[in-house]
Amino acid sequence: MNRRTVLSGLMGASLVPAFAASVADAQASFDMLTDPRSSVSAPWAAWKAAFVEDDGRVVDRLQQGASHSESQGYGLLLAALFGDGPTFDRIYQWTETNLAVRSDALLAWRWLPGGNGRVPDRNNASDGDLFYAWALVIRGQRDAMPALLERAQAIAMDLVDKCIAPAPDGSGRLLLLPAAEGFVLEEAVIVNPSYYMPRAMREVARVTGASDLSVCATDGEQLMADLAGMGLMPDWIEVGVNGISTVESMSDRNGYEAVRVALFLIWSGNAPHPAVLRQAQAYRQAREGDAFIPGQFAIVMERFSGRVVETSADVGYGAVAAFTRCASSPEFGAPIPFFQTSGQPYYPATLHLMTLIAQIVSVPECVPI
Amino acid sequence: MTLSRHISEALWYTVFLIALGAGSMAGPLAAQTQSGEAPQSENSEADAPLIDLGPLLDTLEPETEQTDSASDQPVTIPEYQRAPESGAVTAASAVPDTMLLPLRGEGAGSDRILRLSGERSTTVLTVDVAFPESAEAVVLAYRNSINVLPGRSELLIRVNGTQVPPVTPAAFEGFVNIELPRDLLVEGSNEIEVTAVHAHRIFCGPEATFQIWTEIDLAQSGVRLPRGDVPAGKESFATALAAQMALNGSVPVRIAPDASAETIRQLAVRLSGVTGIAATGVTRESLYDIADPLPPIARITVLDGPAEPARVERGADGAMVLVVVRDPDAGDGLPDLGAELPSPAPLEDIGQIEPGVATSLQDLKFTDTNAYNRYSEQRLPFRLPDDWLMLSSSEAMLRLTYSFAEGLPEGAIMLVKVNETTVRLLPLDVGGGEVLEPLDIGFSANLLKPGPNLLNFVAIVPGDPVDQQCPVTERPLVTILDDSTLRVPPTPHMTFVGLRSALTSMRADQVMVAQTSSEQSLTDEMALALVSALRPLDGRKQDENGRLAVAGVGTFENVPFAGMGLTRRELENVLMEPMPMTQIADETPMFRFIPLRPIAAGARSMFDGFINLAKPGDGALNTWLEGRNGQAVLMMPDPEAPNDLWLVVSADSDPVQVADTVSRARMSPDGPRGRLSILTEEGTWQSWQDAGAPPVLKEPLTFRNFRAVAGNYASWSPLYFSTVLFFFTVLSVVLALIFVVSTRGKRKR
Repeated sequence: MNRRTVLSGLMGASLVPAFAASVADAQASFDMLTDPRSSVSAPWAAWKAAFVEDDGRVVDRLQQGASHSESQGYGLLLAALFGDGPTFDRIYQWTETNLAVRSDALLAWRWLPGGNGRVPDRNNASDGDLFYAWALVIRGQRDAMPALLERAQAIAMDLVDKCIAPAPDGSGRLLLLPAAEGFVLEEAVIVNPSYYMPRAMREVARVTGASDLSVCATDGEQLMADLAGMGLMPDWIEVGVNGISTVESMSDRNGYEAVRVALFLIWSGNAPHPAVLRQAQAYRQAREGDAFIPGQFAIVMERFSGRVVETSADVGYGAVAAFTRCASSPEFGAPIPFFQTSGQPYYPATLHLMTLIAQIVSVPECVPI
Repeated sequence: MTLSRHISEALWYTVFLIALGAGSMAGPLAAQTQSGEAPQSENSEADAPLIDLGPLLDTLEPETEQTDSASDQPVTIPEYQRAPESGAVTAASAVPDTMLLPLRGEGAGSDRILRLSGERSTTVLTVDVAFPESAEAVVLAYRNSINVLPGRSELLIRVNGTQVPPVTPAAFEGFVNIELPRDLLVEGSNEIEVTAVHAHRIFCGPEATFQIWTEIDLAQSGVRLPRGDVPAGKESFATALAAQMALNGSVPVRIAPDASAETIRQLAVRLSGVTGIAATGVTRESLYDIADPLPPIARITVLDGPAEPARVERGADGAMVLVVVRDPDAGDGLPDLGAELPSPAPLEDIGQIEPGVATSLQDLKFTDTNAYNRYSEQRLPFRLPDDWLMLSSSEAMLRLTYSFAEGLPEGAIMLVKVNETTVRLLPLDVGGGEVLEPLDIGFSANLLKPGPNLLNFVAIVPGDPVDQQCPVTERPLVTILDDSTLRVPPTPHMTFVGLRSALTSMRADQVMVAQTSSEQSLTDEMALALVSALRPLDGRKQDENGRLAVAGVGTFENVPFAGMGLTRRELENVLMEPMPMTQIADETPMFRFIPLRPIAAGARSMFDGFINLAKPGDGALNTWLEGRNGQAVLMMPDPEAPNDLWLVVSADSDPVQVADTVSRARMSPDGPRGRLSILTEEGTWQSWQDAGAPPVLKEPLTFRNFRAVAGNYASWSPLYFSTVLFFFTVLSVVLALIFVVSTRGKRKR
């Protein structure tokens, strides 16, 4: 599908209702986030001050001060959600200049501040591309900016083209590959469940017409339901001709990657998903267990036993945990930590801010106490 | 990438135009645009005349011809280092492992440091503990002055009545912790009594008394608990809340920004039950505000939702959180908080004396009976009825029973003071060692005022000799027996117009904020602090018409100061920072007869004296205000509405401190009086009495009270009274003359 086809499809009468609905959704989210009652403007300001440089580069200091398509995508999404046009423009401009260097519409996954080649290789990361496209869709719709929609369109199409593959197990499911290259094995593909963000996939699909993204989201949710039947979400899995297995040399624990799964599912309005319930149960056990230490939050757990392998003092992980617990219970109010960037690295801080957004948008009962 | 695509498109259009003109030349030209790459064009020579633009467009998409895998660079898979490197500690982990339940005590300053001065001084500190078995430690942080002689000084400490081994004071360079036994703690309220016994290294006498002291840092003293070990519940919340208030003086309340002020008010009223007379700051925070660097010990979070019983939870920052879920459609009310924040009981008032009845000092709540120091003050504040007014000469009587130590040096004396006026000087250097016969000390009753008064016993015992250490004694130097009595003569029910009575009766629900456009947060904060502080006094009825309006300096348009004959500038000058001293032009005429100045001054003095006879008081308000500054002004703009008070605060005032002072003023002999009172930066009140307002009789004038009423008027304004008297005299004479003349026989006319 080339650009003209997509554009004509986008503007076609068949997509008008979906487009309008998406605009309404985006506006509703925007209204909720900028409502004085639930204003997260202070956390957003703190996040920006901590991680966004003047030129629009979103810095992840734990990765050698690198920026990557994920950080840029997350940053662009947050700016879009908060209606922060100037920040959006800066992040967009930097990303287009520095990461949009591939031959397709996708972004190179990493940019390093030092050395000769600032983009060491041109592989992409599909979650970064997805969030980036979602941000473009949100801003493009709300502010009626066709150029952004066109760019989102190109990314969505290339994501479908290069990062969605049929499952080798013959189930007919579409799988989201973590990148265009490196994750397709001889008889299997490697999947990172946390790269699925169903809400983003559906909204991007709805606006751009890249309908395989929406199908892939649904298939991914089913895949995660299958995985939840076995245990907690793993960071990485392999889907082969014989089904699901672990990936040699990659973490199959429920850790820094998988921490996003429940958050993204709840944000997508799927709080009753088995993966969320399983994760919430594990967090409860961790909190009630003898090894619980106040101020330390479970971040790596054994997939099947739920045993806590590693804790972190970064409150962002505590925010995800408290939110997950609350979303799967009838409680009103949740002990979600208050946002802070002081001493908290980019990744947990970003998850923290996303938790607050997801709470406001999807589970308003779980207000931080 | 976008730019390159635009360039490609521009090139394509160029090619397209050329193709239109040159047909078969399109292929080669297109090929030249491919930046050196070898395009796999689908066009054929045969198709060229048809000018099929679609394939050409695809051909000119430059990047589609390039594959990233074909790049020379290696391809890696996205993986991230999410965990901090080994050993890295993030500041986000700064949730303290333990929390301190600080001690509470009367007499500490804003820095929470309590000083025990003199040869012997005692204080009782309290702390509430819900789970004493969880206590890690009980600590008392103290330091002492360099003049304290350790060998003859000690700290005597009792924990819930049990004496612990004495501590020799040796904290000369900073605060040092004394660890007290944990097993003496009990569930609920705990009392720690500290008696500091000091000896001066060199001197003895009243001056030396002030040089020997021990200070206790209440903020660093208390019961230390591990945060995680205390289960969430109403008991632990109460404990944490008391600790939060003692430590910070304020409680964070997380609530939606558009929640009504009434909801916060209701919470502030409830919170006043925890702090006693002290004001509580209620720090309003948004539900999504960023975290405090130092997490609170306790917090209240108010959520909108289906109303449910309040519950206590532990917040992620370790704070004990009272979660209140209220139904926004059900008005501003809160759900039942009786268990977690019970309605505060009235505050215990100072002792009240009934005029005409000899009342024992014990009934007046006098407890400070023994004085051990070479300089000591034993203070007894007590309250007279609001409508008690004695301006004329009449005698009140203190029947004092006291004793003092035998052999006190020459010059030892005790001053008996009433409202800081010495009414008797008693020698302590003759006799002693036994309780003396009751001594009647009469004093002029017009030294007393309606409302709070102060009876003070000041003992001064010189050293003997001055340059040696005082002899060791455990017996008090002076003892005032609490069966001593005080009798105050009754008066007719009369009052002066003044704000003190209205302030004493004021309740939290009568505090309101003047509608303002700026400084709203300050006035809101001020009002909230007042609401938390104005806990009703025991036995005091609320005046239904009372109102205390709060306004800020920048919003004077709401303040009815004109009713007091004031201008905006005059009031602003009081509340604004005083300008630095500048050269003020001498407005005195250049040419003057200097020798006349004393004469003019004398005349002015005579005139002032005459005016004072006619209209006693503080003179014109404008004149009285000149040169005065303060952090707040409390006033009664309209004497016809004596219960309508206004508190105007300066922009840099501390709301909690001001509210605290206002609240305490209700029981203080030095509190505000008159129609306007300035709260100075030092926390004292300067009051202006309206000269034009005579005392008001609150009962019918009868033969029985006529003399006393006339006496009060005569004392208030002798000239005014004489004029009236003179008028009646003349009238009487005229009437008498008319009578005499009219009743004479015609013959004698």
